[in-house]
Parts: sequence; structure tokens; C-alpha cells
Amino acid sequence: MDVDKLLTQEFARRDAYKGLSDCYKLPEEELINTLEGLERVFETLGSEARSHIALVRSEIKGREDVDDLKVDYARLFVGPYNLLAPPYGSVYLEGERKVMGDSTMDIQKRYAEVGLTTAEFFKEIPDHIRAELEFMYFLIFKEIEAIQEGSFENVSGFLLKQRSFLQDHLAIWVKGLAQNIEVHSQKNFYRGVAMATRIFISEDFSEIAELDISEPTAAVSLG
Amino acid sequence: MKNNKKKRKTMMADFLKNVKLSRRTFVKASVTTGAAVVFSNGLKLEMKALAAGTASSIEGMGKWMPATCQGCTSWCSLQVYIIDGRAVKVRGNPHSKVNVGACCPRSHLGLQQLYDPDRLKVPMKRTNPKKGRHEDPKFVPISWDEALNTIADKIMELRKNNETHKYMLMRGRYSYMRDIIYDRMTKIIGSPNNISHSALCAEAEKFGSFYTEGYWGYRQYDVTNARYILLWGADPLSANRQVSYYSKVWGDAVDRATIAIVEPRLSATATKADEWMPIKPGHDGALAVAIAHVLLTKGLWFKPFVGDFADGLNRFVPGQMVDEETFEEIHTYGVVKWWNHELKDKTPEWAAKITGLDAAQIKRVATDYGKAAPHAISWLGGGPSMQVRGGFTGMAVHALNGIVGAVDNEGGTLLANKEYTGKFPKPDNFIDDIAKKGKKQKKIDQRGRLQFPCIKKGKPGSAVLTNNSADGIIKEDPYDIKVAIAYMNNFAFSAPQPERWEQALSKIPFLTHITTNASEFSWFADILLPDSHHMFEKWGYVKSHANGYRHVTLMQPIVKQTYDYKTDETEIPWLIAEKLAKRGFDNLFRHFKEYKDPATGEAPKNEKEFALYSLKYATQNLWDPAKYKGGDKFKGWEDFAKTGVWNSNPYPFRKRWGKMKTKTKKFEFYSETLKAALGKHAENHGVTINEVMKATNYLARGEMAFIPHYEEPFILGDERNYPFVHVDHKSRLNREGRSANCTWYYDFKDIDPGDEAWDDVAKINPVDARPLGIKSGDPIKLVSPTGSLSCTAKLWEGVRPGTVAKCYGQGHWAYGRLASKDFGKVPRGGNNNDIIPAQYEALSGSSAYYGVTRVRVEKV
Repeated sequence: MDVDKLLTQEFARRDAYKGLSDCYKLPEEELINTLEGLERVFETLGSEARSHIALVRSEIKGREDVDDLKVDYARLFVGPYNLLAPPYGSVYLEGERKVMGDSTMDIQKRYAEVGLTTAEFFKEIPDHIRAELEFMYFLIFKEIEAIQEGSFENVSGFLLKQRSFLQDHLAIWVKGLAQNIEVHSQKNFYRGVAMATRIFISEDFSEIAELDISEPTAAVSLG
Repeated sequence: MKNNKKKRKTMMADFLKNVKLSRRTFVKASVTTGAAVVFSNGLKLEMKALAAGTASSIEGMGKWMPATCQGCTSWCSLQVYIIDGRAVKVRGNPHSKVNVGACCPRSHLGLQQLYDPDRLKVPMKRTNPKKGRHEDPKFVPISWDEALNTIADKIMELRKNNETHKYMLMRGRYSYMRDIIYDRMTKIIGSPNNISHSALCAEAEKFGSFYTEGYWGYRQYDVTNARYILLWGADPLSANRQVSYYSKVWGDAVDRATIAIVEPRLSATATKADEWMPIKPGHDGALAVAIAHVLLTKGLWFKPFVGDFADGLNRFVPGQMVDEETFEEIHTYGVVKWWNHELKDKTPEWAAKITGLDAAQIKRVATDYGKAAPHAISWLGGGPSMQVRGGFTGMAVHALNGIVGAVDNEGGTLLANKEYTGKFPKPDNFIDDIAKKGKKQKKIDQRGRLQFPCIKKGKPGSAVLTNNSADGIIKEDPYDIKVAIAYMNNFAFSAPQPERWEQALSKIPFLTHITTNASEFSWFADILLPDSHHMFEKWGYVKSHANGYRHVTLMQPIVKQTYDYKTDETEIPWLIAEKLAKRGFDNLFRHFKEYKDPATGEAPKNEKEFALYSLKYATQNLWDPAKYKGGDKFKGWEDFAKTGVWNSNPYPFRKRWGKMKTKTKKFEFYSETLKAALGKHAENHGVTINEVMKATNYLARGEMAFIPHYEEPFILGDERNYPFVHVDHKSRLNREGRSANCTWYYDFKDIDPGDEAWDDVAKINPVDARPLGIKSGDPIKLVSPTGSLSCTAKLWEGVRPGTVAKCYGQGHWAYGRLASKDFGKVPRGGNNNDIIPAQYEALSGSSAYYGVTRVRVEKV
């Protein structure tokens, strides 16, 4: 079989998560590059998310700055008043409007299992959408490394981690987040990003859910 | 595209199938990245939110860690259970001798505040230059660097233009680290305008004890040794102060003492009392002087404290003057003067008519109270004193302690024990000529003017007049304010007639608000700075007293940091100082460098070290064995930090008898201390004391100005248009005004007697409600001469007919998602301050909250 072709797909998945993670940063000029990249990876993946990204990209193309998006960004994800789309898993998974819930602790544990924690400069909590999307990026990165190294156990191990993470966390709550964004966003931009996020994760999860992945025989090497 | 997708799925499935069959033998893939790599560094792991490492290990994981609660001013020492850096539960710190291992319901709400997703998370700036209630500020996140640079530029501009007095610092909830930002920073920048919230809090209460026994502060009450506890508008089982301690020991107190409570509403404490005296609001002074009348006529004064008639014959006969020469006073001063000028005619029958109470009950309470002397407490709360004419009521209520010898005595009313924290380094050498000039300007709150004596501790113009600052700013009188920083305050909600604050804040060209949650006040800010939560995230200390002890309890960062906040009183001033230094004004920064770690002698190098070193500096006498002065002993800083609280020596009873800090050194029934203070104020303005009384809305003239006495209350609104007197009260769950975004607040709101869960009710006596056709559950409006609020009607026999009682705390229009019904438009419940007029007890500067306005009830 053609492993290179498979890798091309996995790189695209990986970069899709990375690109989406960057979309939930405070919007700066580099956002346009992120969207360009995202559009390409969604193209590669044949994802329905592509058209949504293409649309929002065309909207902000050629702009000098993206400052007007900042107000919408703040209202949705930062506050300071009526936080309209809390970007935190626990708010959706635990049915209480609070952060640092048990589900957040579970996320923290999953990060620690692969030698990760939230970065010192991140100044946010572990189940922030950016961190969770980046975690998927990390797991796929490691999966790709395993493919390249020919380590079957690690490929399975990282795929299983992706599946269980999507299943217990991200693929569930991203729907609620996207719905909040779609309802409350004052600009098309975040509505498009939300739709792309929801669609891509749903596609990715349904694919990964169907895979027949054996349990690795040994603990996943983090090498 | 679909093909692409299908192909991909099949590829991974094939791959897995193949490798499963061949196990490790599959051909290694090429390391080229292929065409799909779209982001730079496709080969290198590049992370922006996560990093290598395990979750930062917090010392004390899965442990009870010491903390301090500032949900009210009880300032209890707590412990918080921390697992994996997360706070999960709360209990009283067993090491505290003040709150003795207890904590009250509000402390638990701290957890919901800490993990509130609506918290202010990063510095933000306003992008809509227009300010007003209906102008969305359009805040956007910015870096700390940008925020601090902007603030420093604004301060430098004032310094450049020699108008540093136009800088203002407003303080809300503080710890004793306050002097860094409140005092030192304001002085070194060069402004007289450090404005505390204190006058919204309790200053009139302190007035009562100062002008009788020379003590400007909160009292503690020796309830377990008391035989009679007479409470006045105080509800210690719910609110302020030492709620945890009193809740814990109240069962014992009830067993040993008779408890009477003067309060128009059946409060939590009233439900546990032997006598409920539902007085007509504002007339407490009449009851107090009638009780004093009974105590004297029945010979129930405590002779070892007050003294006696030389021949032992009681000449206190109703209506009859007494010759001062016949009485030999011991530790008190002016008892006969008080009798002659005020008490001789103030019979229980006279008071019954005024207060709406039963004369027999007044006699019974007064007699039993006197018989319990000296173990008989007269407990002054905010209710009777935070009124327009509450200063003399406060004195009258507190003076009862003098008659029965409960002052400084077992089972009586006590001051704070001695503690040994130190002061921060003096700023004098860093105050330059520009600052000196600025500091000399008059203050923005207009304290010290004829109508605002504000005579804290006997010094005219020394007490803050918080709520009047809004008028000062609006009228630019004495001048305009250009740059303001405020922290942990919300005057646009917590001060009576808050719409004046909306106007004032809209007028300030550059306002920074440091806060954990953006609030109504923040709505008008240009920069918002996220603050650490006092209970879990901040270095600091506070002191408080109860149970015959004083404790100094530490605040410490004990949880994993969630957002990008910094600490109000230490870290932020350090960072501002650093920025000012970079702009050529380094006085503040050089001053802060003097806050050296006492353990190593090292100067702080960054804001985090500064926060810790300044705390160690201020508390060194408590933890350094070489500096030991008294109370608990520690081996060193770590030992103190681990325990979290220092306790004083036990209370030295009766040590102050004959040595009180009054003019006469005695407990004054005729206040020479107040006489001197008022004299000073009159002299400052070239008027008589009578003119001062008139200007401050008091009725007293002549000698009455120095004597605890009854005055008819000053209540706004005529009875025909506003038939009910408004009764404001506080909740067991109020963490000041900051509980409104916590679900538990609403879930458990019915633990306040008469209140309902998930509602904000005005309690109306059924006798009053029925003729108006009002039923429980009806949406209503309370309308006063200065405003209105919307809430729900609740028919309840626990309020005195003729009054409407409503709890403070709800009615936020901007305090997070839950706090408003429809954010920015419809508050959840009603804010009492919307109907309370901006009136003052002018002698202390206190805002008047009680017995200050009439209201009418309108069905909506």
C-alpha cells in the first residue's frame, strides 16, 4: 500500500486541527494565512468544512486588519460580561455554568498521560477549545511519527487516544459551542468558523469511530 | 471530494489491516512530508496552548490548604481542599481562635466565584469611546504590556502638566496590603484622592463607640459569657460580622442569655431571640434612651463602673433634675448631665408611642437587661446608626453598655486585641515637589466642608465621604478628575442613587478598573485588569476579632492559575511602577524596591516577588521568632504560611477602665470628645456648633449636641404618596454584592427568612398588602422619591406593618450572564440602591441606608 498517500491525509487532518485551534486565538493579521491553509487541508480531506472556510476567507481577504473581529471574538469567547459562547468543555459537558469541573480534570489527566500540560504562557484552562484542538493536533503528530517509524503499537495507541478523546470530550461539546457561536455571533466570520469546526470534527470522529483499531500490546511509547 | 474522503478512510483501514497482519514488518514510510503540509514547520511540533510537562504540581495536592474569606467583613480564616490544583471544598480553619473552625454559608459560594466562566480573564480595552449605560463599551482583549503602557502614559501626562491631584484611586474590598496601591502609590504620584468604600460600609457604627469610649472600630461581643444580649439592627447569624463564630456559639449563647432584638423585620437572629421588638424604622434612639431611663430609675446601673450617689439614695426619679454634685462617678463621665438633658422624661410610655412598641415590653427588656449587668451586651449594628440622624442613636445604643458596665468586661462589649503586624516602608523620601503640591489639594469627596464634618477619631474632615465623590466628579468641584484607577469596588451598583456614579464615571476621561468580574462600574472603564480572587489566588492578610481573640489570617495562591489575572494591591502597582520608571519617573519603583524579603534581605526583582516579600515584610513580627512580641509563636515564615493564621493573646478584660481614649479618659455619657471635635469643625468654618448641627441636618442644639439622644428620623417622601418605610437588609449568602452570578445564591436564597429561592421578593405585611390587592408572587414596583425597582411581592407577617423589607444583592444589569435576566437590559431582581436616596450621616460621612426613604408599592 501507499503509505505516503496515507501520510498526506494524516498531515492534512493534523493541520486541520492546528488551523482550527488558531482560529480561536484573538484574531490578528496572520489569521488570513491560517484560513488559506485550512481551506487547502479541507480540500485535501474532501471535507464539507471547506466551503465555510472559503466563504469567511473571502470576507476578510485584502483587509488591512481584523480589528473589527475582536469585539465579536471577545463577546463570544472572553466576556467580560455575558460570555456568549464559553469556549470551555466543562460548561457543556457538566450542565453547570462553571469551569474546572471533573471533565476538565479528566482532560488534564489525558494531557499528562502523553507528557503534556497547558503552557505557562497560555493563561487559560485545560479544556479551552484551543487546547483541545491542539491536543488532537499533537496526537495526530505522534501518530504520524509512529507511522514513519513503523511502530504499529504507537499508531494504534495514538489513534485510540484520538478516538476516546473525541468520543468523551471534543466531538460532544463542540456541537454546543458551535451552536452558541452560530446564534450569537454578530459577524459571519465566527459563524463560518463554527460551522467548519463542527462539520470537520463530526466527519473526523465518524471516520475514526469506524476504524478497527486493536489495543496496542504495549504502552504507547512517547519517544 | 466525496471520493477523496472515502479513499482516506479506506487507506487508514487498509493500513491498519495490513500492519495487523504483518505486525512490525511494514515498510517504513518516507519521511518526506508530502504535498499536504500547509503550515510552516510541518515537521516540527509547534504548540501554542500546550507544552511538555505534567500538570504543575501544587504543593498540598489533595490537601486542606489555608485561606481567608472576604465574602463579608468577618474575614474568617478558612481551609480549602485542593486536589490537582483545583479547589473543591471549604471549611473553617481549626487553628483560628476567632472563627474556631467554623465557616458560614457564604464562604462556599467562593468556589462558584472562582470557577465562574464570566470572570474577567485578560486585560481588555474599550473600543467604543462613547460612555453611558446604553453604550456598549466593546471591550477587546489586550496584553498586559499594552494595558500598563497606556496607564503609565496617562499618569505621566498628569505629572508633566503638574496636575497629579487629578489622579484618583478608588478602593472597594481590600486586604491590609492596601497601603501599597491606596496610600503609597497615590502619594508618590501626588494626589490627595484615595477614596475608600468605607463610608458605604459602617462608619456611623464606629461613631457611636468613638464618641463614648474613644474606639473607632468594630466591637466584639463576649456572647458566651453574656446573660443578656440586646441587638439593634444587627443580624450576626446572617451578616457582618463574625457570622461563622456567632453561628457556631449561638446555641450556647441562647442557653445562657436572654436575647432581645430591635429590628422591624424578623431577621435570622430574631427567629432565635426571646424578645422581638419590631420597631418603627428610625426611632431606635427613643427606645435606647427609654431603656437608659429605666436602668437609672430602677437603680440598675453597674456601680463599680459608673459609681453611685454619695449617700446611696437613687435620685433618678422620672421628671426630676438631679444635682451633679450628689453623684460620684468612677469610670464614666456625665451620667447626671445625660439624665438632666435627655433621660429624665424619656419614660417607656413615651417611647412606646414613638416606636410603636409595647411599653410593658420596653420595661421588661430594660429591667432584665439591667439585672444581667455587667454581663449585658447592647449590640449596635448598622441599622440604627447608618441613618441621616443615626450618629446620636449610635451613641445612645452604645452608651447602654456604659450604664451596665459591659464595656471591656466579661460578657460585654470588647475592642480588638493587640496585634503586631508592621507598616510598609515610609514613602516620604519618594514624594517629590510635583507630588507634594498635588497632595495638598482638597479631596474630591468634599469632606470637611461645613455640611460634611466627617469627624473620624475626633478630626474634622478625616473620614471618607465615598458616595459624595460622584457629585464632586460630576460638578468638577473642587476640580475635574482625569485619570482614575479603581479596584474591587462597584459604586455604580453598591452606592445609593447609583445613576450619579454612571454620570460621574462617564465623565472621567481615563478609568481603569481592576476586578475579578466586570460589573456595572467596569461598564464605564477604558481599561479592565483581571484581578486574582482573594480566597484562592492572592498573597495578602487581614485581621479581625471575636471570641476574645484577634487573628491575622493569610491569603495565599493555593490553586492552579486559571486565567491571566494579577493581584490588585501588589503585583499591579509594581508593574505600573516599572512602566513609570521606564518613562523617567522611578520614585515609586525605587520605593517598592525597599520592600525586602526579611528572611534574605533581598529586594524584589519582579511583581511576584514583590507580592510575597511585602507580605512577609508586614507580618514579620508574627512569624520571625527573633521578633516575637506575643500571641501564637511560629518557627518561621513557612510554619506561619502552612498554618495560615496567627492568634493574639486572650482579651485583657477591664484594662481600659479609666484609660479610655476620650478627652476625659472615661466612658462619656456627655461627650467632651465630640464637643471638642465639633468645636474644631465649627472653628474651621467660623461658625457656631449650632450652625454645624443645622448644616448637617441634626435637630440638636446647645448641650444636646454632645449627648446621646433621640431625634426624629429624617425620612424622605411624604406618607400620602409613599405610605411605607423601606427596610433594607443583607443576605446570609451575599458575598458583598458579588454573589449574583452564582447559582447557589438563588438555589438557597430561602435561607434568608421570608425570602424565596430564585426570586427577589419585597416582604409586605398581609395587613398592608390586602387593601392594595397584592398577593404573593405578584410582580411589583417599589417607588421612592429618587427611583424605582422591580421585584416580586411576598406577603409575610415577619415585617412590621407600615414597612416593606427587601434584601440587597440582586438587580444587577451588568454582572455576568446569570446576574441579569436579559443582559444589559433587564436586571434579575431589583437593586435596593435604585430606591435609596444619596443621603448621609454627615458627622461620620456614612451613607444612610436605613430608615432613609419611604416607598409605595405599585402592581405591575
